[in-house]
Amino acid sequence: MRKLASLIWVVLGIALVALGGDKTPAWQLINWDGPVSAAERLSADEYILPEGWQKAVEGVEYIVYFNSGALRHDPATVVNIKKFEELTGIKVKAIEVSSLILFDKTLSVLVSRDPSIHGMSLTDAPLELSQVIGAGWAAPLPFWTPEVQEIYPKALVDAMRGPDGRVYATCDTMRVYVLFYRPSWLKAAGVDKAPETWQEVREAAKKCREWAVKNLGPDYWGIVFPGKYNLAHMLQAGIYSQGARVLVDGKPVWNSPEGRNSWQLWYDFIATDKSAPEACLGYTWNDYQEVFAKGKAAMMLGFSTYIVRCSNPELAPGVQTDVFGNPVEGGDFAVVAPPKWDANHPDSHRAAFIDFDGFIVNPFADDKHQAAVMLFAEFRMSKEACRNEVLVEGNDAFFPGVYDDPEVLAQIRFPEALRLSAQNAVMEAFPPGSKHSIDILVEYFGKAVTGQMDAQAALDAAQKEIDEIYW
Amino acid sequence: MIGLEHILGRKGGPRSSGSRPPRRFRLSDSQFGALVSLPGLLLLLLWVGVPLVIVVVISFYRYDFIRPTKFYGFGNYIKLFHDRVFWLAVKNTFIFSLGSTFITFLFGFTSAWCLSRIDRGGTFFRTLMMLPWAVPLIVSGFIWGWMFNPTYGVINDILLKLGAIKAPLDFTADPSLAMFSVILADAWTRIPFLTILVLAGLERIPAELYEAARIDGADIFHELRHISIPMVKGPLLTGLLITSVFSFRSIDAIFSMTQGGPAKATYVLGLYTVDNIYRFLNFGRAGAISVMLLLFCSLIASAYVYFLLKEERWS
Amino acid sequence: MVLRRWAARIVDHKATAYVLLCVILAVLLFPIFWTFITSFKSLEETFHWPPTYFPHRFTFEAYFGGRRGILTGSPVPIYLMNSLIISLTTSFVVTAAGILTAYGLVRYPFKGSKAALVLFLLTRLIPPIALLLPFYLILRYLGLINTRTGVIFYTIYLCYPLVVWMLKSFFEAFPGELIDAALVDGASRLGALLRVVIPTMATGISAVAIIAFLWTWNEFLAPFIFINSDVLKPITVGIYYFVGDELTYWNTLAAAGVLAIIPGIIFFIVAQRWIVKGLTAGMGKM
Repeated sequence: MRKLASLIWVVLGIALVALGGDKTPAWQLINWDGPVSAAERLSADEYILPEGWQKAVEGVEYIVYFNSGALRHDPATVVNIKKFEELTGIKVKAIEVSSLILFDKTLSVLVSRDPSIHGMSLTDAPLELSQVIGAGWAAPLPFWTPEVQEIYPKALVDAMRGPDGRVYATCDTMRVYVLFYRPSWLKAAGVDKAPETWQEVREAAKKCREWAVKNLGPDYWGIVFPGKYNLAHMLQAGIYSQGARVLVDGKPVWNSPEGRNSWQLWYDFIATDKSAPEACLGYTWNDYQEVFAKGKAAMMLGFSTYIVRCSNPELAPGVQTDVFGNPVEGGDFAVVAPPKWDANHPDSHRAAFIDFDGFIVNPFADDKHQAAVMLFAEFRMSKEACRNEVLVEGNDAFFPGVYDDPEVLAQIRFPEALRLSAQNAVMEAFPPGSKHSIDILVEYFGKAVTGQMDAQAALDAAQKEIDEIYW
Repeated sequence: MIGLEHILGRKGGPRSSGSRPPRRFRLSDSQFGALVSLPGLLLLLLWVGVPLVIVVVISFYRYDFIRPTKFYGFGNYIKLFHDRVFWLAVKNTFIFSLGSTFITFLFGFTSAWCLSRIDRGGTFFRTLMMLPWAVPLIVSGFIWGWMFNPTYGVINDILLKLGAIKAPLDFTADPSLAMFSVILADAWTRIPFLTILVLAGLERIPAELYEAARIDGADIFHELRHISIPMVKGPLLTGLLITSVFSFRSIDAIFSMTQGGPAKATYVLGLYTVDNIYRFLNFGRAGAISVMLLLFCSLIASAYVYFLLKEERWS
Repeated sequence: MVLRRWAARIVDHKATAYVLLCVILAVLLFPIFWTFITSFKSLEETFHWPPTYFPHRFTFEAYFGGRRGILTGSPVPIYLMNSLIISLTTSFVVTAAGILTAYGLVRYPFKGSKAALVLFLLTRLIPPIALLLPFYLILRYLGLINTRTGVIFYTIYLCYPLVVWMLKSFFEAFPGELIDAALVDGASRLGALLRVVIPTMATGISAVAIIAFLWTWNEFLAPFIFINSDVLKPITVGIYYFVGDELTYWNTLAAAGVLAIIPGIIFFIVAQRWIVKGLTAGMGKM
């Protein structure tokens, strides 16, 4: 039936795509698993190009791809691009697109089958990939041999897998959640150790807020979190911490018993305990982490990449001193793995969602360019490139073996917390329509917090509407 | 140009004794009118028509990437009428549009009235009055978002200093405050246009009218009610209706300030359309919403055209 | 009644208009003032609470601060040139075509010319955002993605209908006897337009051209979706790319805003007499 849809476009005389006859596509000229297996090439300290690549990309001078955000925020990407250019002689043109609207541009390219962009990033890959793959908007990537799939985190690979079992994307950057806290603040408020369960977080947030109101001012909070789109990630953290999952038979169910607990928890932070500001409702993924970086919150469940940001005095002026104003080397903050629900649970429940940017190859680009972008995509998930991501930028590495490298371990802060968080992180690939369902969730959360509805009734109402999306 | 003139049969050659030589390709006046004005319209219709047809056709398809795409008849529309969010967006859109139009009217009319009464510095004041118009919407969205920022925003500080509030207000979390802020930001960019229109009308009122009224003992309020307002009714209506149609589907301010939140308190139809296209990938429903939006705008515009034609007949 | 008389006297007083104007202007211009002020603050100071109304430390780091300075970190002159090319072309094409169209519709009405006029307005009522994706398809089919021409196609659509409506009101206000006189003198109908109507309506026409220019200058969404190359971006898109994903650098953001506002302001100050006169002459009649 999807063909019928394409037919409409064609009949209207808009979208035409001329596919060249029965010629072997260029990427098949490459012996991906050749004399040296793909797994070996990727795991080598220095990435090895596959056999036959020169012939496949003959005549390709440059490739164009949408990069999420400005390159000056991605020094590791710049290093990797340079390395790739040196290796292959193919220029890489990264078009810097603000992540807020990256998908708008990507969608425009894909719907119109525009061949001029060869690769694209998806910032919200866990939710977007299923739709993009289902619509036939991503080329299957030939280097994902079963062996290679073994190397990488299974949950992530599964999220990038199409219904036919092939893998259609790679991971651009991934973001693991960790619990950030300000040790001096917690201590001043009478909390002696880092919270390990969500109940402890709640108590600590209350105490921190109480202490802050007396000693710092009314705009210092116990905890902050995003009340906009990324609220879903917070709810997921609460659910995963109880060992449960959101998806039931491939469809999101938020009002399971565990879901109710989680919903109530985040609701209570604002509405019951008042340890989080109502302003959270307006916070994006960036806003609340900025509030923490500005020193206005005692805790947050944030991206591990913010460790680097918080260590930088210019970007995070508020956490360079303790709450009494004494400078602290490296910043007054620490991270631990996400909390579990209660103390009886095993440590494997210290889990949160893992978010990632996907990278796809435009199937409407000509085959030589597709082959070239595939090489680029493969290079970027190699050990060498992932190592640069960690060392240059402090990103999480898609290639898990990077963390065995002593040099890497010596350079990153809080390696133990990071390792545990990455190990426990949960990946669920959401079905099409999930962005809509999360919007509904966010709306009803706002209604509950602003007192227009009872908290649990709001959750049920939201779930009812979400069910309607999938009938 | 010569060639064109020749085709149009109005070549001004040498004339003899005042009588025009007979012309072979003489177009009648109305033919000439159609010839010079219609190509533009046709091109425009083609240019707008093709995308519009695509949108309308898609609105009759279930095209959502969740289930197989198929012809859906009025299915999208029926679903829309049962869609809570759609009606919420309709309500918000009307509040937003009316609010923005009202504030634009309040400021626009007052400043035009003041401008028409001052003798000195007219050019200076007018120029300053126009400045918000020179600010791109995308920039003004940033500016207002920054000023309304609950943590560092200057508006809170001003209100605190004026003693109007006791504690900083949370503009992004309080539903009615959020709506108020986006309305303010939207109206800000529209005030200059209305000011100019009304000013134009006010300056056309002959001074004798006021003088005569004064002799009859009228005060300023009488003047406003019985002279100024009736005399600028035409331009005022034009301005108000253009303002309301434009703000009806505008999303710039909302997009850069609240993105529709909190709890969809500022979620308008334009935003719902964008979300359905670019985020939910529900092209069918997006088409249906666009068509509804077009219908709403046409309703407002028909009021505009109606009043306009009425005014013309009257004068 | 006494109260009313007092109120009337206050409102009627000459100074009232000035006072009111100053208050309104203070409100209207504050956002622009605030943008200028913020752009000269250091990043640290933008997060100072309570906010400072004049920079403690006056700095140009938002403009020239290396990679994060808007002028040193992004090719602003190129952006400005692109904006200029797009806006001037659109403005010229739209005004030229609009004059012909409006002239025909108003001076030489034909059967259905009123309907045509309404149709013009109607095309502009469609929410542009809904048409963006179909437009992309067409432009891609014509090979105009990532070109200034593609953007110009779109901005012409945005401006043309409203330009026709504004010009219509000018031509209606134009004394028909002047045209008749020219025709009697042997001018062609087009000649009358070129030699009589356009020179007489110069202020109004230039006002319309300026408005079209500004509308195009401010356009964001279309160039944003249609253009990929950095060297083809107009200023609105250029600064958005530069600051869009670091909304926390408020001073840089403000500096970018200033750069986008200044050309418009200069334009306005230079052209304001024309605009006001033109609009006054034309729209007042509506």
